[in-house]
Amino acid sequence: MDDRQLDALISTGAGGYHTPPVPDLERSWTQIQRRRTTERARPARRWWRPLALAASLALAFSLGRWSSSSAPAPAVTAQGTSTEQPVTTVAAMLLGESVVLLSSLPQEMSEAQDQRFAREAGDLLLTTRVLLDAPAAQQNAALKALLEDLELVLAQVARIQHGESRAERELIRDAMQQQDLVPRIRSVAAHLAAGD
Amino acid sequence: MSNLANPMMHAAAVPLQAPGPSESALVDRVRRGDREAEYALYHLHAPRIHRLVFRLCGDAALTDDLLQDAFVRAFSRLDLFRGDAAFGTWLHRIAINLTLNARRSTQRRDRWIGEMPDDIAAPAEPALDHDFQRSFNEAVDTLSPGQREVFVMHTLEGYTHVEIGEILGISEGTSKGRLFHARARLRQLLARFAPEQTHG
Repeated sequence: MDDRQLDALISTGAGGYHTPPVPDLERSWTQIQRRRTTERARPARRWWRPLALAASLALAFSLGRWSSSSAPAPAVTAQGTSTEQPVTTVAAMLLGESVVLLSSLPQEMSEAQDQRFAREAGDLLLTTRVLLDAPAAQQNAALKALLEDLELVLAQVARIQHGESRAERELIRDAMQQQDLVPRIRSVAAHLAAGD
Repeated sequence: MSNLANPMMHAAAVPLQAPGPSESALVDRVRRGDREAEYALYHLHAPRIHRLVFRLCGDAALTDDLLQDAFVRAFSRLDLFRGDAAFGTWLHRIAINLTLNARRSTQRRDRWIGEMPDDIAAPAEPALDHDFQRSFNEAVDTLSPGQREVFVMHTLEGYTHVEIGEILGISEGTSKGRLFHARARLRQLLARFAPEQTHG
């Protein structure tokens, strides 16, 4: 088959391949405006939030260590040690932030997007590492395993360089998928939020 | 390689770089919160983006969602648009990425045929269906994702290789190469429909 014949076949078939319908642009515009209005009403994501999480976790962790070394005995409640509650709260917030970040990782990004994703991943990575050292995480095998997997993926995202091939991003996605990472995060976050 | 002058191309295609300074002026107005400028930009690009997204995903409801997602993201993240490329190119890039991610998610969810790298051939046997349109559609869907994107954008929707390169973040040469392989694959899959050659 020569090019002319192929062109003729393509020309014939093109008309029936996902032929676009007439769009209702005004209805879509109304939806866009509605979503834009909702978005404007929502508080903006603060860049310093992951750092604040890390700082509060570090503070909680330090206080726990200080209190356990100075007090005669660590306060143990039905929920665990006294430092466990802030740790689980921060862990739940970390996991929530991580799901948002990892789920929205686009295949290709502008340089500014690359930098923003890498920076946010770096912030979350910091929190993850601090959390990994916390006794509450050490005592919870599922949480610890999850944080270790999360640490690896966040480290990859934090190292994203603008101009990297799409294949590199696919590797990150594949790693997330193989580890079933996002569903596991959601599951653990739900348990933490429920106080399990 | 033939450059198909396809009647199905969108004849009224809006260039990615709208003529004159109006687009950048509109973008500046949107940055200042001008809703009318948002509306003008939307109407400038939405028809073409809608066509392209539908060509790629084939689902009307999903196309509407993706079109809305693209504009919501573009307007709300305008601070990330540095103006290196045309706003239309940037907007297309957002829409295409959303579409490809949605298609990928759908494929994974439905356990459809997995993605294949461009250089790995698809199954050799065409569908045992003698209806041309159905076979054509299946043949296009059998192309690797990269080949299919370029084929749809260039051949069906009339984007230039330069535009495709800017939107997909690939070189013009890569775009041409993918189209070449796509056509080779279609030639193979549609061979039985080729009219008989007349010699002399």
